[in-house]
Amino acid sequence: MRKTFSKVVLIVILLAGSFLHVNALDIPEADTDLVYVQDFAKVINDSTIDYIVEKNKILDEKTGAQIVVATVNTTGTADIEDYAYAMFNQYGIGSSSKDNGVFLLLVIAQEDYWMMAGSGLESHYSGGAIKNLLWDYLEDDFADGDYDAGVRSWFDAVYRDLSDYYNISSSTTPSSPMMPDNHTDSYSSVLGSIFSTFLTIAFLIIVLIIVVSILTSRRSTRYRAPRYQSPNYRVYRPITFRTPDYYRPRDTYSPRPDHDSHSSSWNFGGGSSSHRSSSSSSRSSFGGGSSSRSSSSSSRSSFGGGSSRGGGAGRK
Amino acid sequence: MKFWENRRLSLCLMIVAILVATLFGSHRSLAKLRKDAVAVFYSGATAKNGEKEKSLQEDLNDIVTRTSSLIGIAKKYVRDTDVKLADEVSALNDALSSATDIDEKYQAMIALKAKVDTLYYALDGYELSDTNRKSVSIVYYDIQSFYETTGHNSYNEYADQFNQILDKFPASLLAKLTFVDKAPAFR
Repeated sequence: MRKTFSKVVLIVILLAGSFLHVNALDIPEADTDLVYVQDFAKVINDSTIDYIVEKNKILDEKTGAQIVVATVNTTGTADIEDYAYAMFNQYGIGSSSKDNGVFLLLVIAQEDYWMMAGSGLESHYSGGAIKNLLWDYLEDDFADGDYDAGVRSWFDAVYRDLSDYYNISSSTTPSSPMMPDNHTDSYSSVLGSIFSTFLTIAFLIIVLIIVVSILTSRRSTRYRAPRYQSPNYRVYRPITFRTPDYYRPRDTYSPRPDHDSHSSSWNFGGGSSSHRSSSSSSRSSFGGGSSSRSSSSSSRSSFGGGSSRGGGAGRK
Repeated sequence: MKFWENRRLSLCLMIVAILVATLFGSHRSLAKLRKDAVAVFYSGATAKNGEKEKSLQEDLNDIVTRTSSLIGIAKKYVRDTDVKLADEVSALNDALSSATDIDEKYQAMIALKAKVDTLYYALDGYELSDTNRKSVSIVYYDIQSFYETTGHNSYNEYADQFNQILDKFPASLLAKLTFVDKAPAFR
């Protein structure tokens, strides 16, 4: 009887232990609409999410690198390092061949965060470098509870850093609707529009001047033409001289060349776009309807399949 | 010639030959499996996509290098009892560097980690130059990161796989008979 009881107790303990273990690393399913921001704690603003998504699309397309931010309220009983490591590898952040993902996990209720990079960026993002990035760009806002500002600041720093690392030109910025709504950017966009308007007007003026000058020169030629008219005596023309053909009336109008065969080879949009879509679809793995946030781009993004060795740094 | 015609003797010889061949073959194959598993510790595993994982030995080498840098900076500033602390870290770093056995390496790493933490926090009490303060911080968190990655290295999986083979019959018996040990785990 005692043996049976002890067996039952042992089984219960083992089951409870396994249950706790499962709960310890209960990673939530990734939000497939917003691959780059997994805001389970709902602490990041929509404008910041849009900003991160759009910038990531550029980075992802050019380098395969992804900068992913995730927020959760708690990691349960798991250490933040283990949780971030499991999340990174479950989501497959970064290119599978280059392992160049960068991941930031904010754990709100535990007031902690952890950043890690894929093994492809390990030499660039050593523990010390990560710690400095977090300290310089995230810590203050995080301590103040302004997670959105902290994430934005941290993301900009990492994006800048990776852009330099991969030598991406700064001109490849996202389209203006996705730009952040801060004063500096709106000011520069106003300046930009004024400048472009000025350029357009200047261009039109130059074109107008050229047209007017051409017309004027023609008029003056016509005006001067009588001064150079042919002399008033007969020019001897041998009989063999024929009237040029272009004076002959055309008997029939030959039909215009058939462009159908030509146009069939001009497959606007068809071949090339299907090629593009096929290449982009190979990157997209998530199905379903399109998100309003990703509606600006026809191709949807997905995690690349990268993995991390787990080295990183956090707050504590 | 009668010696060769002895049926009982020839049967015994045959049995001995089979036993020797079995033991020799088992030893060779088990030793090779063990060698392959342990090789992952030194040269790293190769992923399916052909990518080479950084080995545990490389991580340990990085820890040794970074710790040397930390000691170098610390020795410029520390006084009194902390001089002894820096020397202890230096000795443990040398021990990790010279350890040959995987178990020994693990123990040396754990001992070093504890002392490095102590030294790092002891340096808070000294007025380091900005450059050195920043360097100490970078080096320390580099070391922490390498400790972290050692916990996720796939070597232990390879070692565990091999050890599971040794736990099953007949490999368990053959391993004992042929003196093939389990692969040491790095934990």
